[in-house]
Amino acid sequence: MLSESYTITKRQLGVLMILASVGGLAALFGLDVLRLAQAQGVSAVFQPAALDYLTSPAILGPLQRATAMSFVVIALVGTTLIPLGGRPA
Amino acid sequence: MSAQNQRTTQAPFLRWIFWGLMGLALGLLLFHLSVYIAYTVNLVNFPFDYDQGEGFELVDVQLFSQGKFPYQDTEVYPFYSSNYPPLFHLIPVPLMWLFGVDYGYARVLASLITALTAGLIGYAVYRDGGRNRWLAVLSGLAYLGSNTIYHIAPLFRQHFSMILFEVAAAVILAGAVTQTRPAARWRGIALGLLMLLCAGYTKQLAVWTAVGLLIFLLVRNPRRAILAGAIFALVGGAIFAWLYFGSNGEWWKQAIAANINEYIPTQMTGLLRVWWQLHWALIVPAVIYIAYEVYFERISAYSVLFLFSLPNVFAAGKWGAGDSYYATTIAATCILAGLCLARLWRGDFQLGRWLAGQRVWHPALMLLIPALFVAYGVSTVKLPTNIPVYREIAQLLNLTPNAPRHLDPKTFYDSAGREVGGYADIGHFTTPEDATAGWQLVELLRTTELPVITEDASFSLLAGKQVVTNPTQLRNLWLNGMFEGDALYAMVLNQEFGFIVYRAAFYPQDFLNAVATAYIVDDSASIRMNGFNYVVFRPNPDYPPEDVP
Repeated sequence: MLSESYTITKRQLGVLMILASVGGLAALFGLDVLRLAQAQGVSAVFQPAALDYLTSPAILGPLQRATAMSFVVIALVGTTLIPLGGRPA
Repeated sequence: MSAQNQRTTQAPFLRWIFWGLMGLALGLLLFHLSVYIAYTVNLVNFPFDYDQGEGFELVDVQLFSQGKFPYQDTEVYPFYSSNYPPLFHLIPVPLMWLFGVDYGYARVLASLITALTAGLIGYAVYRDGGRNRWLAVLSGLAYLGSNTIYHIAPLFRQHFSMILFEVAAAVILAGAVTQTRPAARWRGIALGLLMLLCAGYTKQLAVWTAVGLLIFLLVRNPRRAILAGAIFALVGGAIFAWLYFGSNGEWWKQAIAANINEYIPTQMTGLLRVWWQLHWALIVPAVIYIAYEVYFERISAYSVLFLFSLPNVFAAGKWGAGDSYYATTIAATCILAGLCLARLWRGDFQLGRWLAGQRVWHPALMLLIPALFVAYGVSTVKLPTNIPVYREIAQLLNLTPNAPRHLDPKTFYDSAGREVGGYADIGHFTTPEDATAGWQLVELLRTTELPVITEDASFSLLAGKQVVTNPTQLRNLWLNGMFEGDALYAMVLNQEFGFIVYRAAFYPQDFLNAVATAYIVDDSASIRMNGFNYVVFRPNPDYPPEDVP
C-alpha cells in the first residue's frame, strides 16, 4: 500500500466512503449524546427517555440534518462503487 | 473518420449556425465582462466603503504594515480585532507603504486576483480538455460573468483571493499527478500544497478544499499523500502556532472560536435556488462530468474541488454568509463544464466514442455546446440602468431595475432578483452624490479632537482617526459570550467619543444601550450614502457623565 505505484481502487474508495459516512453519522449523534449528558447528567444518557430524545427529529438542527443526509448520499454512492472492482479511483 | 473530420464535413448551414451561436455566446459573456470592468472602474473611484467589511480589511493591512498583529484583545482600547487569517492583508502591505490608505489600489488588486482566477480556469480547460481555445475562453469568461462573482470580486474582500489559491492548487495538483518524472511530480505537489496553505491562511472556508485535495492525493498514491500531508500539516501547524503565540492567543479566539453565527435554513435553500437558476446551464454538464469520472475514469482534482466546496454551500445559510460562499463551487463548475464540453467535442469519452458514430451526434453537439453558453449568458444578465449605453440596452431589452438599493431608487437589474436573504444587495454603481455625502461626514469627524466610532471604517480612516472597534466582530464575540465590554461601555457612558456613526447598528446590544443612554442623534449631521442612512450620534448635553458610577 505504501509503494510508489500503489493507487486506491474504486472498490476501496467505495468502502472508505461507507466507513466515513457511518463514522460521520456516529459522530453527529455522538455529539448530541454528549450534549444530553452535559445538560442532564451522564445518567440521563442511559434512561429510556434518552432514546426518544435522540431519535426525535427536533434533536438535529437544520445543518446537522443536511450533514446527516449528505452522509447517507455518500454511503449510497460508495455502495455503487464497490462492484467496479480494482479499477483505479 | 475522426470526430474533427466529421465536423468539418457538416453542411455549411450547420457551421454557420454553430459559429453564429458561438459568436452570440462570446458576445454575451464579453458584455458581462464589460459590466464587470465598468463596475470595477466605478468602485476604484469611490473612496469609501461599498461593502461594510472593506475598511476593516484595510485596517488589517495598515496594522501589518506597522508590524502589528490585527488579532488584538477587544477588551482594551481601541477594542479592535480582525476575524480573518492574515495572508490577504499581507499582500498589499508594500502598496500601503507606498500609497497609504486608499481603496483604489486595493480594489484594483482584488479585481486582478479575480481576473487571474478566470485565466487559470481557462488554462485548466485548455490544458486538460484537449487544447480547445474557444471553450477555454468561454469557461474563463463564464466565471467572470457569474452574478455572484460580479457582486464581490472587485471589492477589497479576502474571499476571492482564497478562490484564486484554491483553483491554483487544484490546477497544479491535477497536473502534478500526471507527471512521470518524480522530481517534476514532487515539485508540482509541493507548489499545489503551498497554494492550499495560502488559501487556508487567506480565509478559513478553504479548509474543505484542503481536506478534499489531500484526499485526492491519497487516492492517487497513499505514500506520496502521507509524506506530503505530513509536511503540509507541519508547516500549517507552525504558522498557526506563530499566529497563536504572536497574538497571545487572540488569533484563536478572534478568528476561530468567535466565528460562530446563527443558522438560517431559508437563506441556505434560497441561495441554493438562486445558484441553480443562474448557473444551471453549466451545472448540468459539470455534474454529468463528475459522475462520468466517478464511474468510468479517475476522479480529477476539479471534481474534488467541486464536491468539497458543497459543505460551504450548506454554510451559506449562516448569518453574515451569502452567495459568495458559492464562489469555489462556481469556479469548479466552470472548469468541469468546459472540460465536459471540450471532451465531448473531441469525442474522447467512452460513451462519446459510441455517440461519435451516430449520424445525429455531431449536428446535435454543434448546437448544444454554444447553446449552453448562450443560455448561461442570458440567465446571468445584470446591468446598471442609470449609466449611459447600459441604460439604453436595458430599455431596448425592456429590463426594469429590480435590485433594491435600500433607501435609494433602484438603479440595477439583476436576473436573480433580490428575494433571497444572503444574496448580496450590491452591484449597483455609486454616484458623485454618494462620494460628496461621504466627504461631508469625514469633515464632520475632523471637527473633534476626541476619538470617534464609525460602523464603516472608511470615515475614520479618511478623517485620520484611529479606527475604534470592528462592530460585527464585537457582535460575534458578544453573542458567543466572549466579550465583556466594560471598558468600552464606560468610555461611551463617559462620552469619551466625539461622534458615533451607525449604518446597520450591528453592535452588541449592550453597546447600543450605552449609546442610547449617553448620546443623541444629530439629524442634521446624518447622511445618506450608497443607499444607507449613516446616523450620527453626538454626546447628549443633558446627560451628566459625573453621575455615572
